[in-house]
Amino acid sequence: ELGGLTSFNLEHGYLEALVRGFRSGFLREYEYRQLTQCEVLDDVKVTLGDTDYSSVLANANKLTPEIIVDKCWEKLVEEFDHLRSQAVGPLNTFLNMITYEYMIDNVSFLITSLIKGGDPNVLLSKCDPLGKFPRMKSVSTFENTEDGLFELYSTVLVDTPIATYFEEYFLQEGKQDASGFDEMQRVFSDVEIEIISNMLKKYWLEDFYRYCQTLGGITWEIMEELLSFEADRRAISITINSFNTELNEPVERESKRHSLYASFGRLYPEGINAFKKVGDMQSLQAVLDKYEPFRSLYQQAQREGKEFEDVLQAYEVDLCRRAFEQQSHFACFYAFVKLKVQERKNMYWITECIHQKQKEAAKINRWIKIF
Amino acid sequence: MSKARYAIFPSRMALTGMKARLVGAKKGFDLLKKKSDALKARLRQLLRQIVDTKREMGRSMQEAAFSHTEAVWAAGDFNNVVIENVTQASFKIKVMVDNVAGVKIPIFEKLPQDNTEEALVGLAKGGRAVQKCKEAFRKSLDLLVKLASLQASLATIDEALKVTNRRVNALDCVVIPRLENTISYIISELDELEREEFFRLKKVQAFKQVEQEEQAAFFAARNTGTGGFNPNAKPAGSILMSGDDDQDVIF
Repeated sequence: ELGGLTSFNLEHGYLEALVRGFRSGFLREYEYRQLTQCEVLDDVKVTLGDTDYSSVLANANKLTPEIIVDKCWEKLVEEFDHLRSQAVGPLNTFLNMITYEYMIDNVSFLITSLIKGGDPNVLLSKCDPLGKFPRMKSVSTFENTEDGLFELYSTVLVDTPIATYFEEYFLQEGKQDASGFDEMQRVFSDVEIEIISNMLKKYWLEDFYRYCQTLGGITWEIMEELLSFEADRRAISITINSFNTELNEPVERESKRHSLYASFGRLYPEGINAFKKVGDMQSLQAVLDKYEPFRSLYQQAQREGKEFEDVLQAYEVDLCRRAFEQQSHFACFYAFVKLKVQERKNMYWITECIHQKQKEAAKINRWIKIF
Repeated sequence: MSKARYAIFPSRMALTGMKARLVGAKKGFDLLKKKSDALKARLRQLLRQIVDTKREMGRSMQEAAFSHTEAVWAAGDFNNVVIENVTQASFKIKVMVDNVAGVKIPIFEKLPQDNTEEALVGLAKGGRAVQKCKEAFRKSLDLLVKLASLQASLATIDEALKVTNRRVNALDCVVIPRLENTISYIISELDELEREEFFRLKKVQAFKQVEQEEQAAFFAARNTGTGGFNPNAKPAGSILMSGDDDQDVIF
């Protein structure tokens, strides 16, 4: 039990204070406005010099949007690692669970690429630093054989916390047996990496949801909302993005696409079930019409001529921002990372617009205000 | 223009040969000139197309780059996933050959591709933006192929044009004048020979006349005077020869 107001601060008060300190490091609205006024990337560097990112770009002699964004992301990873190294008990687990999302991306990326013959060292450098784990480097010894894959599984994957999701995936596929590693290779070379990592993320999301439930209290209260929204947003996005792909075939809709939806959220179960029949935007809208906030969000997107996914993003940012309004809970750590993700996207957008000289207000002002 | 000519013995046979060569050279010049004009016209046309395509290319690339930014905004950094999962080219071209005035020009043509392998990227986020980005880049790629095709044609035609122009100029400024020089040389040499011959004949005639006159003078002197020889005077014939008018006696 987290103890609420009486004993929360005893164990986690320091870290909560830290994360609230980091919160003040987010770029403000006026800072975004300043950034959008920049003419070249050097101006961006100067502008960032007055923000929390002042030290990050000090040593960068070559500026590209990627470099700026990567450096800023490294800062977040550093801050997050600092939090994680100090965390104890359930908060430690909670913070670890946040990174699993990125770990899943990294691992599924590594495995599919390794099977297709990528250079392990190159692949490692392309992994998201937030999803790194200590033994990840050992994939560089990978040999593209059945034994190699077995070794990869037994030395690298088994020890990672996300191994359970992999097991669940293979179990679900009904292909796991004692010598199922050739099966694993087959699955990884045949099945789309997107399908695998989305399945794994679904398991992660459900697991995270269950874990937050056991934490209870305010954490559960806020996380329930955040994770439910995440599950719903994923379901909607997967549906929208599957249009025009083979996943939208009626058979695939019922089986493969349906298996990617998490089993909780506001839309679950009726809405999710109704998604089986959704094949285009109109039918999606018909389903979403019964659910708030999606009905109003969809209308807002149409009214303002925005992408529906953008509107969902903005709503998520809003939820995360609100997570900071209560005390003595873990949700602000999750919200902190999510908002940093959004900040990275904002910076990427603005720097790319400047870099490509796409300075029309309608284009460059797509960033989403955080604080 | 120096009076360059072929080293040849001036004879009537050589003259006929040279004239035949001149006709050949002029015909060749006309044909090559036509080829060169055709190539030049094609070259201009290509240049215009290249300029247009390049402009369009610039716009298209800009759009494509921005659509990539939009895709990354919506789907997060998906580059690595795409790059590592490519196993074979989804866009292939074939080299075809076109023929302009006898010059073989490479033309790149897009091969129809099997669009079955539609990678799912950004399923949970921004997949549609990724799709749009893909389309934008495919459009740019089409233009790029077109541009490459034009550029390759341009290089080939340019080379061919240079060679043809060199030949045209060589025929026009070197071969034909040289042949003409040779012909006029042969003609002048032949004329010279003819004149010499004529002069020689005249000379011989003159000598003969003088000789005749001398002889005539001599005979005249003999007939009229002593010791003179008159060719018209009947020589004193023998008696045996005098009776050739006699009738044969027939018994």
